[in-house]
Amino acid sequence: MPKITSDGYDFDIPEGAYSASDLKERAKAPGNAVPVVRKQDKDIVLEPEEVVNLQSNDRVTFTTPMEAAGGGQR
Amino acid sequence: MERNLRRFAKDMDLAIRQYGSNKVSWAKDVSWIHVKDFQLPDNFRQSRTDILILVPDNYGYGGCYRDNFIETDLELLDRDGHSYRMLSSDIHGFREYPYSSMSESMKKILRDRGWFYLCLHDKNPESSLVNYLYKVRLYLGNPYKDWKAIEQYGKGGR
Repeated sequence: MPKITSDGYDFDIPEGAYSASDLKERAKAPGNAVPVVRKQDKDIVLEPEEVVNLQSNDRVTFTTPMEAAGGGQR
Repeated sequence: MERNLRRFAKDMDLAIRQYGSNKVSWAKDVSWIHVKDFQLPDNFRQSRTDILILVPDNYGYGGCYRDNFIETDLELLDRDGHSYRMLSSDIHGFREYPYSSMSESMKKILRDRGWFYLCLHDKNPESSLVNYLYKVRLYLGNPYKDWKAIEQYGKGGR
């Protein structure tokens, strides 16, 4: 069964399709949490409306946001 | 503002445990950190790169990591998922540091030594170097995502 790790706790989640918002809601993750799905050896960062199909060995974690910027003034 | 040296020492301690003492070095004035053989995600032709991270002036007092440089000749899997391409500006990267906060001579040194600049601004001032490099690796593994939208999570977005 897929697993979610949030705030130091692990719990199972049924296989199936989930959006980033679904995962945050299920994990009661903070508003600024960004879901990351580990599928095999790949870490996939989810966009807000992106849906992922979770399968048995997948693991969901959360990270804090970062900005990919460039150009402008500094 | 001076950097928080106590926090820097803790940060380097953690980085050494993560990457190995022979892989992590830093400037005497703690203005930069160099990590050798940083592991790349598998959408790169190469498996490792050296990475140079600038330490913000207000590090430890609200400053977040945001400037890093990877080797310029790395090849990244293209959007088609089959061919490889050189690094370019569409992944928020530059062949030369683009901001006026760095001297022209330093920009030239970095460019001539083959460093490619990536602007990845960590939004968490508590992030350690290891946390930051985890995020850099996440970014490099997902370079074509809508990072603007992902950043919105941090503003209370869903």
